[in-house]
Amino acid sequence: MIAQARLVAVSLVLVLVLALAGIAGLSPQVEASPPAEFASGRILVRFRPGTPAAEVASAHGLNRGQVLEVLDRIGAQVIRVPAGDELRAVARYRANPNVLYAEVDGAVRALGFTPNDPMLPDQWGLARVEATLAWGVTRGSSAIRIAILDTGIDAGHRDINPKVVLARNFTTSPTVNDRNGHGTHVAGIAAAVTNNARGIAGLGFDSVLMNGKVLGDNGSGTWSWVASGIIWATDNGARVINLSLGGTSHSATLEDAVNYAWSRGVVVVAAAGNSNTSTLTYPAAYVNAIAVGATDRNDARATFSNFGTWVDVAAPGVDILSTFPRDRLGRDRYRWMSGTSMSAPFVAGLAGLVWATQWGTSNVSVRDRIQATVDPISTDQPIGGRINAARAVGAK
Amino acid sequence: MARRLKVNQREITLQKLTPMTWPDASLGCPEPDRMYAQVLTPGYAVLLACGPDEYEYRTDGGRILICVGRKDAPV
Repeated sequence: MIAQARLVAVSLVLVLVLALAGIAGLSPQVEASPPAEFASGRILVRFRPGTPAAEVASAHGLNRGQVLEVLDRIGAQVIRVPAGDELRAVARYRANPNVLYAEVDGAVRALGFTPNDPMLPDQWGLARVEATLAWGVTRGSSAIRIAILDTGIDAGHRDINPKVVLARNFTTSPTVNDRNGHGTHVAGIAAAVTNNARGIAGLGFDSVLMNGKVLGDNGSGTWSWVASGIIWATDNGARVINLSLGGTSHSATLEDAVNYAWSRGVVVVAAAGNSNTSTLTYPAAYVNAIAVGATDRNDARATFSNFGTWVDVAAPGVDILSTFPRDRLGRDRYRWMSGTSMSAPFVAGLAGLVWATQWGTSNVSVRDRIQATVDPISTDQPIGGRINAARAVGAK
Repeated sequence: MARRLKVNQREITLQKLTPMTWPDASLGCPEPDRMYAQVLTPGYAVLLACGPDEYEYRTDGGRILICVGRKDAPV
């Protein structure tokens, strides 16, 4: 009997404690300082349960507040207030005893994802385009193929190799492998194996690579090799084609090949050239290719980058660290290189990411998204805005 | 070069050796109907003379191209 009475008493105390805790949970929020960024012209307010509707309406009237939306499950209201008056409106609402809490509508950002590749701190270009923030939203997909039409790719490099799903040699070189170094470097920027605790990260993250060798081992090639590579990549599932190459003469064959790829839904990216001139470089200057100029660490035009209104976007292109063919002992190598050749694969890798987002419905949509989300930069000559991966995938 | 010109090596003199950064894989001597890797390429401009004729060779350390002067100059 006594034990039963004690049990009832303990239970009552517990109920009282829990009730007090519940009341405490409904105590007005104490906010030390508002977030640095918040929505303009709107705040969040929750009234105490049971507050008469007339008093709620009166509070809104006093504060010139208009209910935009009610978050039913928690009873919070999104209130429109005069822009610039958000903090004062919050203070006025908080002074109302019927208000449980009032706060600005703070900006929430994606957390991002930082891969474990040890050379990432040296990849200033990835930081500049806010790659880690972008990777918090998407890391692309192994279903997205980026064709690197270049001097080949070192198939045995352990920071590249698992990514190459298809290869073809269009040159007179005896091998599809990279004996020059350019193609392997470009491939790494676009989509090196990322978060593998080795070497560098590639912007395209989970995107995979196609190795189309269209430049000989001396770094040059013919129009027909490049055109053949574009057609091969298109017919074998490439969603993005990277062309870190160019010349100053127009080729109808090459333009036809670019148009062929574009008409079949491929995003075509090409280097604008390194001659510090406004003279058109092909294939970058073709309407269905994204022409990419180069920027440095300070978002200035690289001194060598070609320029003009025909250059669509800019991307990092000075002192870019990436993969380089293995040495004679089979050891993986990495090098710094500069050129619009290095800028183009940043855009190609980003296109791979965008294909994996809600904007990846067509090549038109992907291209528009990349170009619409650039960061404006102030340059001595026009080279477009510098790409921002985070903005392109909707991370900010 | 001496062999191709069929002259004694002593008749060829080095006029100038200039470190260069070429704008692309053409080493600054693009052929109009070819495509080139658009990467800055370190190398040298080498100016040689044989009698009154001058020949400029360009190199990236691996390849040697004749660029300015007599196009039939030996490589």
